[in-house]
Amino acid sequence: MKAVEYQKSNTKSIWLRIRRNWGLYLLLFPAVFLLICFTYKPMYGVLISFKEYRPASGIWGSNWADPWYKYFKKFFDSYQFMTTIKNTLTITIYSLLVFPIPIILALSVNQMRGGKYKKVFQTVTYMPHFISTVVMVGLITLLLSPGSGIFGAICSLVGVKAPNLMGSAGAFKHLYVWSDIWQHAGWDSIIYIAALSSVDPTLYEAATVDGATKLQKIMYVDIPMLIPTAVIMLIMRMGGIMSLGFEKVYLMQNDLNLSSSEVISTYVYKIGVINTQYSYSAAINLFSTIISFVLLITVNKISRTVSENSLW
Amino acid sequence: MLINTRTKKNKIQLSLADRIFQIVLYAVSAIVLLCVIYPLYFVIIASFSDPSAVAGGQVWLLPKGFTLDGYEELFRHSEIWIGYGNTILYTAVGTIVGLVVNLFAAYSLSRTDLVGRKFFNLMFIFTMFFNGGLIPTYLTIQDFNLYNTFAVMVIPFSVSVYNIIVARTFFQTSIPADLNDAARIDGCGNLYYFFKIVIPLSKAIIAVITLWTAVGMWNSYFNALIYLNDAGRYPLQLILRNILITNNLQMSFGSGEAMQIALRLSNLMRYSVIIISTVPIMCFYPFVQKHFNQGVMIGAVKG
Amino acid sequence: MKKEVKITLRMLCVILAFVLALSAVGCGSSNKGSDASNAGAVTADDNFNQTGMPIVEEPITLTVLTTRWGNMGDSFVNNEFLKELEEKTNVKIEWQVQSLNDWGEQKGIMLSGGELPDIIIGFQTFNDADIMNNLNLFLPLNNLIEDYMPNYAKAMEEMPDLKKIVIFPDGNIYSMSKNMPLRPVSCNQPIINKTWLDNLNLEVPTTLDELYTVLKAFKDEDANGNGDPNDEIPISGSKGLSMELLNPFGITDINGFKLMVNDDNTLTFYPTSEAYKEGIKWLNKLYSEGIIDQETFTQDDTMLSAKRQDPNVSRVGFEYAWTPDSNFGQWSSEYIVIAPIIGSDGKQYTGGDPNGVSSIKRNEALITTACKYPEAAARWLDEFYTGEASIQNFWGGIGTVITKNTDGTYVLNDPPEGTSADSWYWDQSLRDFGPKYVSKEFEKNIVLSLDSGDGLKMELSKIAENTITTPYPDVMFTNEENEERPTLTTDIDKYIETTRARWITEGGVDEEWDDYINQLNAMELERLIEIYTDAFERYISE
Repeated sequence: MKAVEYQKSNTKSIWLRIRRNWGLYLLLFPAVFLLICFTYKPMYGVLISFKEYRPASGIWGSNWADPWYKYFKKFFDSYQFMTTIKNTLTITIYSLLVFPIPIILALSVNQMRGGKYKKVFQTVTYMPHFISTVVMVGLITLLLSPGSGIFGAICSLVGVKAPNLMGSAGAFKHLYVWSDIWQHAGWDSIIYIAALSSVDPTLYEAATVDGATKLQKIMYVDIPMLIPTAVIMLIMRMGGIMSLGFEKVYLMQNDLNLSSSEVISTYVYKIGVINTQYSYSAAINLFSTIISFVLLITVNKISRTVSENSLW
Repeated sequence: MLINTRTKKNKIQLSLADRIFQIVLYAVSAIVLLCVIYPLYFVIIASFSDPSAVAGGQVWLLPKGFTLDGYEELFRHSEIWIGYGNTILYTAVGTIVGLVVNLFAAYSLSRTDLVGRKFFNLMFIFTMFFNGGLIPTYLTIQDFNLYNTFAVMVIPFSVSVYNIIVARTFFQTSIPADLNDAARIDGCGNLYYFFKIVIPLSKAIIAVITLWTAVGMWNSYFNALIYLNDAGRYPLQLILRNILITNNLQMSFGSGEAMQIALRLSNLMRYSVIIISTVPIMCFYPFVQKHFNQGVMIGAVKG
Repeated sequence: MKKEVKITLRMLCVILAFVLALSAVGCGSSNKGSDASNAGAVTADDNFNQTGMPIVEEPITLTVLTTRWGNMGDSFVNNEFLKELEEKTNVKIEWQVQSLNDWGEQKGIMLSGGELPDIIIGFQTFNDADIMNNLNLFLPLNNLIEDYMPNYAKAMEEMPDLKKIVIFPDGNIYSMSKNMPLRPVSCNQPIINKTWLDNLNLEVPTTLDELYTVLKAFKDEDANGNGDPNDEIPISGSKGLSMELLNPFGITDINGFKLMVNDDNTLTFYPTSEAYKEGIKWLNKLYSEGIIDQETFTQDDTMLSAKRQDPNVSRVGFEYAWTPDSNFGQWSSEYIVIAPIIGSDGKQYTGGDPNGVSSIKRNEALITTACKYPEAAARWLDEFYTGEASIQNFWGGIGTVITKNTDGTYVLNDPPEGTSADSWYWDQSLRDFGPKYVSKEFEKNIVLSLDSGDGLKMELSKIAENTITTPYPDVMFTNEENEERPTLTTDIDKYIETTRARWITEGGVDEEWDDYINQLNAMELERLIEIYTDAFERYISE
């Protein structure tokens, strides 16, 4: 279903339209005001990446980096440049591929008959979302431990020597992505369940009369309902393609899997927070957000032409 | 509420394809349920077990070395109750503020006849990527004299562009334009239309945004860490975080046993911390859940 | 489509212009710390007494910041010494105790515009780079020490190292140093499970070969006596393997610089040395035979701790640690400290420091430019530099933790039931942090129990006394060096650690050695060593 169009009469002048819709601007005002005050006002902070930032001198008092692209160049020249970008993209793109899973989950829940099982299922699937990252990674390490974990126990039952998966660079991305799904798919499906709840039930009736099977109902009624939301979520995730959260990766990293697990955010952490190289870490962050933003604009444009759904 | 118009005839006609579908659905979902329920179950039994047994992989289906020490140690820290109180307050107020700020803006942006719509959309989305950084934002908060106030926890960072975009999509797809025209003919202005017609029809999205905002506020600690320095105002998550030793710590000193003991305590409380900090929010969920499980759009638009 | 692009671009331009305009207008927040009053100028203040007590006639309040681990709390502010000090000096202290959990982020904020406290305590709070990059926030202390700190000045005379390490590159002193009493000279020492040795009728190993035989026996046989020959783990680690295992190869590195000081004052970067290569081969041999825990590189501290303190039976056989109690919990009595293992060159090596491990440090106290009473602050800090003050700030107040006997000796009391000694000391005092000075003379008056805590470690340390190597000292780097170092070390250290992990688990050190050296050189290892060498030469020439 495409976004609805409100009547835009071309004969009325723009000012009249604004006057007529003054209520809408009022509704918009709080958010805009807060953004200006607390997000746009500090925006000059992006300059940190172009300066030799010293906290005591402040941003204006710190000298300009010489040359201005010094810290960007430092990152491009660094040993970690290709590795961190490659690892970050591998994981985020992989995550995008499993993007439909919460949708499938929502569709399944929607098909369940109301009642105890449905309630329990829904509740249980969203709860792991609340387990803290530290505990989750600890749990994963424990479960996969060849010596003390379930994984090790199963392997010895089958008669195979359990490999140390946490120490495998090749397994890292699978472990990361699938444990994310395990933990968050239920929570992520909530928005889709909500979207499905606004399906006009007469559509189901009509489909049943037409002799549609459940599967067909899903295909022709449910999925079209979800597409606008799904597309928007997908576009936003594409925009986040370079920004992989740091905490979980950092906890799952070790010397054996580092070739796959050193991502931009963990590298920035080691340089920026541990070694307080503010300008360098800011430059790396700025670089990756610019890439993400450009990517977002591209994807948005594609989506707009292909499916009429877009961010702006 | 869902009006069940299925006739007996239709019920009998549940085809073979559908029956297979049902069976597969329940079978697969049962497996998924078991897989997902395990970590939850583990956290619960681990919170009652000896931490060495837990970390040594000896705890699987039953608690080992049953102990209430984790909870005891946790509740020794009486500041937890202050944290609870603060968090409940911040969450309640913050959720209301968040709903007002984000939903209003989302509706406004969903109207294609809004002049400057593209400009505002970009303005919001731009901030999802570009950010001044921690230190300039901190200085801004100081400039507004919001440092260490109640307001700093609920107002400055209440705009969530992500929520706005999702809500906007909802409004765009679920509220038909004809409804607006009909209302306009009846003489009602934008604001009246929004409050009296759109909101009642949007229970689902309001429920979701409420849930997301509330959970976000409940779990947050970082803003409190940076912008509050009065321990009496700390939210629960920050207090819990200060009680545990985060694994990110560079432990390069303290070669004595104090370090080991502190670690042991930290491990002891890890699981009980999760339980006591998430049980309240999980109780909140069912109230919200019923709003987005039911259909809402019956009979609003005819013809 | 083109029109769309145009509009979008125009929108972006408008937004950018918007942002720039806003920034130009809106951000005039001056840095609160930089407009400091004249630092060090001695104001003829009637309130202030240059000598004698109290320090000030009318009470003043100073804010003091210190950092501690997450759950250590601020109970130490109640110890007798600090309470008496407040009464005696008339200087009231407002303590700000921050958790080290997120200190990294908070530090930047405090330096950039936050409220600076008057005094900062604890070497973990601000490091060299923090101070040198923000020099205008900290008062130079040279004059203050001369005029108002007789105790500290005397300490610096008696122990010249105390002065040497606080001289910053511009020649001034910006922070104060300390030394800790009764520090052992050996750092971590080899600890082995004696009960297991007895169960298997084995002698305490003295050489590498003997160690290997013993460890192999631990692995293959039922050393812990529970009937299961497979649950023993001779050596383990968490997220890496301790390099102390390479002590017998001549490699020691207590400060983590990866440099060793040779007798002729040259430096050796051990990860590129032959000894290291031999050591890694030996570790690989152990790993491939199952002597080293398969999960060494992947498990975290919690899991390792669980193995060391398994509720059923002792499971770890050999480790380098401070004392057996530090790691083994309820099994500590099964373990003993043994003499350093003799390497293939017939010699023994132990990581340590002839001055006492981690004893002398700088940046223990700083006075900021936000302080309105620098003279009073200096005098207040000077009170910490007496022997009696220092022991109270290291263990706890006299009356609670320490008993002063009539013959002038000091004895440590037993900790309360259910508390470990070390934790108790951390509760009762600043412990490792903050200014202190205990002269060699004064140390003689302190009587420590030999069976536990610090006294025990002193005893254990003796066995390795003659095998201590000289550590790379706590040098002062220049600003430029401090900027280059972190980028170099982040990459180089990680590379060394990942290759080490691979070689220990899979082998291949001989084949890959040349590539490894080449890669390190490509990462500018030579520049890093140059930096270290320059700093070292500056240090020893003073």
